[in-house]
Amino acid sequence: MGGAEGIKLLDEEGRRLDGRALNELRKCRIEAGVLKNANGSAYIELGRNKILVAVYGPREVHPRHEALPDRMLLRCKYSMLPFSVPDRKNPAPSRREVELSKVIREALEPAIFLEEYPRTTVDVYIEVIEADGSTRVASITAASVALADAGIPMRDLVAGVSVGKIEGKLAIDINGIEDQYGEGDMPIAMMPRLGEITLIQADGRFTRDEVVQALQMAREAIAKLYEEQKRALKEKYSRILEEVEGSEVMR
Amino acid sequence: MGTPMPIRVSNGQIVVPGELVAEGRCEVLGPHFSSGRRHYAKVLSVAVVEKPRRVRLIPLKRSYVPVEGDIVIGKVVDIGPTSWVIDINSPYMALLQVSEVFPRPTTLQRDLSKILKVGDVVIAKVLSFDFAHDPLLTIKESKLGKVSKGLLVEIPPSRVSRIIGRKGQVVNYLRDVLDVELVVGRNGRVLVVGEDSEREAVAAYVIKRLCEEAYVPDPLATAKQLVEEALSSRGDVGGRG
Repeated sequence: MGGAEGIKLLDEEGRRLDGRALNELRKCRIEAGVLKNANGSAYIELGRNKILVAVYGPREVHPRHEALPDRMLLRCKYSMLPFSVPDRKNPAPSRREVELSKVIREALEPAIFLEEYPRTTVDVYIEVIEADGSTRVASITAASVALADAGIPMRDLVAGVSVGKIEGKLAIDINGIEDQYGEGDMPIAMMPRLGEITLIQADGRFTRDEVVQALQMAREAIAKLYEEQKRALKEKYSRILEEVEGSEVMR
Repeated sequence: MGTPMPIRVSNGQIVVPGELVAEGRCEVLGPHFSSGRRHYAKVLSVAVVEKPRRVRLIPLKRSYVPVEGDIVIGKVVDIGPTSWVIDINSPYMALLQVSEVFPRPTTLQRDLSKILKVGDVVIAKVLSFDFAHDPLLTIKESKLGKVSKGLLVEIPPSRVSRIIGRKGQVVNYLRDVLDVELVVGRNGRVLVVGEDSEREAVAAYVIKRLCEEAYVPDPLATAKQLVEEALSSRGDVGGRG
């Protein structure tokens, strides 16, 4: 990867193309329990990204031989809809989608008490409706909300953010253009309460100091995302709770 | 009381997995895990502070895990040479073996679909279950067996205790006031059988409504209110006929 080829990703004041500061997240909104037919679900909008996650399970494993005798099987399917990117995406699973499904599964697995339901499976379906950079980490953030909404026992939620390198500077939560023309991209996912990293990848060159700095930036951003995840889960149910408590007072 | 109070949540608060519920010496009931002296929620739950040092976590969603001795309501989904496969609304499929249906040994030539066919509903008891083997059911007891009439109501398994109520108060109340027979399966299925289909429907409606809310502090009072509302809107003055 070379430098910025003719595209200026930072202006004179150090602002990015969409007007954000280097350590500023895009606007993020998460909604839990948006689908009725799934056991759990979540919808996330992170800037222009729109991702829907549905969770089924724990349920019987099909095909049967894939079942694990001592723990639950976690299956993830990340897929991009044909209209999620400017040029039509072929709906057949691409190499990239298969790989992302794997890394997302591995980012979620440490947070789940898999031994609670042996011989069963939990299926996580991630549909990217609109993509604009950092979809894998946004998918992880939404998937952990959907898993919690499905009542899956977990140690912690998982939230993710990507740190990019544009014009030699580290920038949090890079969008599609910054990903395309920037010098590097480092998706990071963590269990916020435990502070443990469940996913870290890197594309491009980063010095040792940059990695340390990127982790610090990611930690701060993930704390913010974690608050949004909690808000989404609590809001869905507290609405119902308030109604109940209201009628209680009247009685 | 010089030590700080251990409970870290307020009554009726919703907790997400991994959220700190209590710290120090106290009693935490419901799905949780501990690390040292800290206690965390395991699933999305409502926290109910029962005593200054006791908190109960009521899961909002939970799939049914069979427990020996549970009464469950199942549906026949498949027939094997010596057993029926029963869906008990759980991640684990249950087996009902021929020996748990007939009192005496029987021949292999017997056509099992003549006794229970696919789609039949049975009230059964869990004979045994460990996570290594599928649950086994029995219908060799009184009040168990094939269901021939009534309404089957599906509710989230996490809300079953609400329908039963404290010492069965809610079930008994509905039974008396609506003159219906109720069988509550631990797996989140409730069978309503009554002479009057109208009252069957009222019972089913009340059960459904009771399960809608994430947390009901007093299920019996709510049930009474719902029954009164339902009966008055039907122009029926409560009590048994």
